[in-house]
Amino acid sequence: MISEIIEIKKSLENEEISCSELIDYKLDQIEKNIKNSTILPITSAKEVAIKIDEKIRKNELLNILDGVPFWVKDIFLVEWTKTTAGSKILENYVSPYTATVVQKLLDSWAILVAKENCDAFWHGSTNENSHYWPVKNAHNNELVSGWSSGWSAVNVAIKNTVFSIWEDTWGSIRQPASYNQVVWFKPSYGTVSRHWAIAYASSLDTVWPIANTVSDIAIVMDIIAGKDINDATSRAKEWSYKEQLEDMDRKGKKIWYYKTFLDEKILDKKIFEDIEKTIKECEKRGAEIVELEAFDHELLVSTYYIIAMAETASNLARIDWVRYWLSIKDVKEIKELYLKSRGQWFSEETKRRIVLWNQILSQWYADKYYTKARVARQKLIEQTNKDFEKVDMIISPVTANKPPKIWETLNDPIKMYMSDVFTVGFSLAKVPTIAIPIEWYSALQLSTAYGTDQTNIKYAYNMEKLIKW
Amino acid sequence: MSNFSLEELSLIEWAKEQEKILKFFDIIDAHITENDIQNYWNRIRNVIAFEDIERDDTINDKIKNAEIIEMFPQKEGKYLKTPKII
Repeated sequence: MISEIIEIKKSLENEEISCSELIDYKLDQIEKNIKNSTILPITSAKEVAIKIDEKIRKNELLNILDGVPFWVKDIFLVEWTKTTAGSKILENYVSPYTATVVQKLLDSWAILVAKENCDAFWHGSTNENSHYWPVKNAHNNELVSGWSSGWSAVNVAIKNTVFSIWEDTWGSIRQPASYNQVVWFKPSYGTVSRHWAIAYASSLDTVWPIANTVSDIAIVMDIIAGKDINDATSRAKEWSYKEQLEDMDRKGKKIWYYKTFLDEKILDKKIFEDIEKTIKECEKRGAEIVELEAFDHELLVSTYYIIAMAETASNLARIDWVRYWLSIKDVKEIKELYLKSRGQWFSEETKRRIVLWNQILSQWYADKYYTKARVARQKLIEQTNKDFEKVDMIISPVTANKPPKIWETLNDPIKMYMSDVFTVGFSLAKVPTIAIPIEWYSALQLSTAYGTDQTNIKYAYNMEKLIKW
Repeated sequence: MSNFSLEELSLIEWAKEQEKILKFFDIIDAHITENDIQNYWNRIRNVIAFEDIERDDTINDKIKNAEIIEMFPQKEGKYLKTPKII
């Protein structure tokens, strides 16, 4: 099993490196590349490392995540640290609470080293919308890193961190996987608690890990998945992810790929060839390949945007000066206060979404469009459930092209929005999806039925081995 | 109905490009009929049973507010110094 987490555990147990040395090294890396973190690194990381070293000196058994450094996207609340969501308006917000997912990792003695920058309220497809600075691709610093989670992808790719925890709404974890060559896993909706994570679109948000291998994803999922009484949509974990990784017989497995997604005219040549080659390799090993038409592309993207943007506009209503300690002077009345705080400190992309999409929630537009979008989503969920009665997994590309140059797509929102076509359907259908890198900017997206997260990771583990042909 | 149409809102300087987004509404309109809404209405309604509703746990705000002021993290050199180990 290739696992960076297990390698660290062995190195600590064999005293090849102390936990303090490991954390100092990671903090040095952050200092050299500070623009990949929003806020300052966390000092208590060093104090936790000292406790782990004491444990090793006393020959105590180490748990799987003892002393393993990790980062979180700056949308998860962590007690007494700043949580900015990449925005100016929350620049000084300090949380008195810790998100359930982070607490579970801290309770496992993983070490939180820093929090990661992101597009402000993760509005954007390219990580150029952060209040702080754009994120550059891990392999080419003239190119974008990927959707709002690109920061994490870069940090994992350049080994600033062993794994990161992020939140995905429409595919923001999967596209950067291909752009930066790391593994990302979006579980079924409700697999991991969203408690004290800043919401984007509540009916679509899922919390998930990013790492360099599928094995590391399984190890982290074992810790973070499960029922949380503070998140009514969370589900109980039924069995171990790591124990599900044993070899799988591909013979007899039915793999479905969307005919319309695997089109030479749409896809970059390398992406097309890599996906086609993977499908042929699966067929050679006994898998049955089924070719089907996908849900209408334009309908998918339209449904997603109407639902997600209406929900994000609603969620953003709570972000104002009053609750989040932004310094506004010379304000005479409440309207002026709102105009000055929300008007000045929200990014252009955030304001664009608030203005346009709040309109969707008004009575007439809600009946005409929002309700119709919810019907379209329900149709998609029912269709996807039926499809997974016929096939075991669906293979698809993550993105159509190589990453664009920084600032290239910001002036064309439609182009930016349409780049989501390969990922939004699975988010709307709430099913688990994983992205495994094949080569730089080319990745395989593998989806399974709702609630089969362990099966998804097992297939991905075996597919990861197959891809290294 | 509100005072502004989507078309009017799209004319705001920084929202001009959003005119293109109106295409999304045309697509939804073309694909989903009134008949679909009637057929799916019960399945898309979010209904919560009375017995599913639980009382929220509340905390003493005065204590939490004092804690927030006392525990506010400070910048210490190149690090953020938190008041407790996290």
